[in-house]
Amino acid sequence: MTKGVAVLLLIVLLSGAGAWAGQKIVQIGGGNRIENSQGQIEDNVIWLSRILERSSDDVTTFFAAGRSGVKDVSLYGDTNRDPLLEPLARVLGDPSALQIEFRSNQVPNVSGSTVKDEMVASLGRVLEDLDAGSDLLLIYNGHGGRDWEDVRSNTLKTWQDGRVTVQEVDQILDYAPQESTVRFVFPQCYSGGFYYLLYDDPYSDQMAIQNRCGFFAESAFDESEGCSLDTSTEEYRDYSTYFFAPLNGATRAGEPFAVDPDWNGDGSISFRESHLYALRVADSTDLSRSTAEMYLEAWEPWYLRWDNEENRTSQYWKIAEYVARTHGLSLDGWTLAREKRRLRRMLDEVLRAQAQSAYSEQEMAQKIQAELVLAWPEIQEPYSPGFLALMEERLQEISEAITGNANYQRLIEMQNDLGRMAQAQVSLERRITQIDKVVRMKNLARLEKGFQRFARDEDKRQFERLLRCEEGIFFP
Amino acid sequence: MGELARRSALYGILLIAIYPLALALAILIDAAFGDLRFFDLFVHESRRRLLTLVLQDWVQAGFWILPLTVLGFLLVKAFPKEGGFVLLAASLAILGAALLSFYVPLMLGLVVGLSLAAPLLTRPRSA
Repeated sequence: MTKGVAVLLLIVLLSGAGAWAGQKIVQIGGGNRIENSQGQIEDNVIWLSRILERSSDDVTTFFAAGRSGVKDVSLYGDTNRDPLLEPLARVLGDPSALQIEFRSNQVPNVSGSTVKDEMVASLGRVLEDLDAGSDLLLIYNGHGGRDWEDVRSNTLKTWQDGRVTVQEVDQILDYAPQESTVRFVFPQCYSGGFYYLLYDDPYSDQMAIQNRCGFFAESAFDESEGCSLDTSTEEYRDYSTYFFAPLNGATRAGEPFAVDPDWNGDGSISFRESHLYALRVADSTDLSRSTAEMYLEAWEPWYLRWDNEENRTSQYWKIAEYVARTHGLSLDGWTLAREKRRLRRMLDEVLRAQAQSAYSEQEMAQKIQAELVLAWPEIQEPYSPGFLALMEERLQEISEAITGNANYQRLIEMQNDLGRMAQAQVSLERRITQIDKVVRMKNLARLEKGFQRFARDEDKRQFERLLRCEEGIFFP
Repeated sequence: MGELARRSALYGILLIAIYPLALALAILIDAAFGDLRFFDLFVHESRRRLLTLVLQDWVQAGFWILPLTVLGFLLVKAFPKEGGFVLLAASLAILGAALLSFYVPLMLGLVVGLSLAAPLLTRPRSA
């Protein structure tokens, strides 16, 4: 009898009925314009490609200009500044421009560019070829745009300054078989607008036929962290860095995890566990979210908004506790509100000082410029023949005149101060985000309980479906 | 005519005031016995977003307030004495259930309870 059941099971498995047909991974990366296509994005895509390719041979990558060889990445290059050019850049231009380098991408195995028409056509073909029952994981690593009128029209920014709207992504995903499970990871600014991919179309109330779920760095209204030109791994704090670290087996910097990402201890990492790990450890300005969380928030009825019931058994409550403990915060609403007010006041002061310093720095640079123009008027017209000749013949002399100027040292101090203020601003914003995160986690814990009590069966079925999708394993 | 005008005006004011009153009570109760969750909302939401939420909720609550007050109003009009007693009892029961954290969420309990109690205030003076 047992043997008979085993044979039957084997037949069912071999026939492929209900079998998992594998996972297709599509990575889209790069900026929309060269100055907006930071080396950090390229680094993220390369890092992720290495991780993904360790476990999957079905990864398709689209990156900025693709394999065309066009320069499509900008990054901080050699940190040794040219001593002759530095004074000119500080006085006449942007001091950070001294270190910027442009080059073509070095992403391995790039399938194509992200030029909108090309990418949309290629993606359509890739998804059409998917087997029924297979999973699709769509990962975006680039910039996002916001539609100020309607967040359902938020966009992905693609090479040659293309815009791909939520609706257009939805239409691309429709190429995948209806039986497939589609997951997406969107770490870009305003990514929460892509929550509406859950639905048949972004303006419909009906859930998509495909099983869809996803993870976002931020709400539909807020910018996300991680678009600086810096390529120091300590400064990688974008959502994808945290989200995919559990797959890497170590943090981006190669350090052991502060908390075990395997929440249920089953030895495998699900998408949801990765997200919960990111929520716990991310020390960034991102208030990341999953589709299930956004579903709960969208469901919240008016009469539960002011409900003060705690739900200490929820995963979200445990995350709130962890974040509060790690950052020395309280769980109490009043204390959090006071701390946030204090930090906001400090942030306002930093922003005011920043604006004032930027103005003074401009004034100081203009003062030095005025003295330079008296001696070398061609310096005002950087594209004139006179300017080019001046640079060839008198660069050393001009550079020495600037460094010898009485105001030059003060200008350098002002520019360094501005850099420090920018850093202080980000630090404060990150701390405020941790407060928001504690509050949001407490709220989600409360909502989970309210949902179980008051939601309709249909809502519960949809929520369960979302959770099942999010709980899928990266590489079963 | 004067009495009708007085009652209509009172009725209108009550309809508008029920949600803010319930909200104020919910905040007071939270401050006295809860974990100051309302501060969480002030932390998490911008003032503009909070105002939008409150206005949206007010409209949503209106779908409960309006039929309940109309029902109560008709009940009191048809049965001035018994209707009043029924309304008062139902109102107190729901308020009690909400306050004691029974199955009824606090805000819903407050809105339903106040909506049912409101027509009692609009009864003719002679009743």
